[in-house]
Amino acid sequence: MPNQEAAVVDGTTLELRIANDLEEVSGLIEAVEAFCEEQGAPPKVSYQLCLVIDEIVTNIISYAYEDEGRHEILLRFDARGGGLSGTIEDDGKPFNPLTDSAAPDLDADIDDRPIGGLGVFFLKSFMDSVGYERDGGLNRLSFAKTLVPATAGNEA
Amino acid sequence: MELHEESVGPVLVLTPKGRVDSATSKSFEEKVMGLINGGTSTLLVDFGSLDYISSAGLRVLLMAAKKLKSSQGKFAISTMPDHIREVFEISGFATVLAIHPDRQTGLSALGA
Repeated sequence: MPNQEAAVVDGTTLELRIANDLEEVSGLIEAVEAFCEEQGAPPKVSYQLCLVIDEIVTNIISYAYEDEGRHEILLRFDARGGGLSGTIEDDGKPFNPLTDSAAPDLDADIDDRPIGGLGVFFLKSFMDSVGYERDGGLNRLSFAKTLVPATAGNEA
Repeated sequence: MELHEESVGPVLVLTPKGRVDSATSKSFEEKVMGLINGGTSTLLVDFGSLDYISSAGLRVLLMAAKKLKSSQGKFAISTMPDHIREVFEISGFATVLAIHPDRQTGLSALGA
């Protein structure tokens, strides 16, 4: 994975940094897929997460920055506690995909790269919870999916 | 990603092999839209050898379906792996894209 800074794998967590370069997305998705497999996530969940990350990160790289400079996007994943959760952080312009994106119209002509579009649609469809915060100069998108259904005895 | 192409009667069958992701979706788009713009009017995309398809790849298929529909052509997908099919169903793509369980059913549906 050229240009991709060291992935930190610590048992059940993964941290990845990539530059704002569309060529890094493919390698990023493969790393996310490998992590999901290592953690025993079902193929359906792995695929759904990859679609979400693929689209969200592509949108960040394409639209978040108003300069031509190099920026980093930080992704963290956590597979503890019977779920899969994570965050995506960028230092681009303030943008809350949950409120600032248009809903996709699957019937309409589709632009090559609509802002929001499928990414947020997938995010809301596939994840059990999603969140956004603006923290200092960072956009931080968070998401979580439960993998293990609650059964009597392990509910909080 | 390799893109295998063959004609079966009136149907052009496209079988992408490997991954349609941000590295390969542009050439996938060029190939698919090139075929349609060049006169292909009945297209079956066989997912049986596909390891992964990104949302950019899914958009190409939506574009292709819409273009063929508007020119009275026909489009279908076959042999979708379960994990991809579930995504199609959840996201509503299954209502705009015809999906068949296997290649033969897809071919029959398209008139081969």
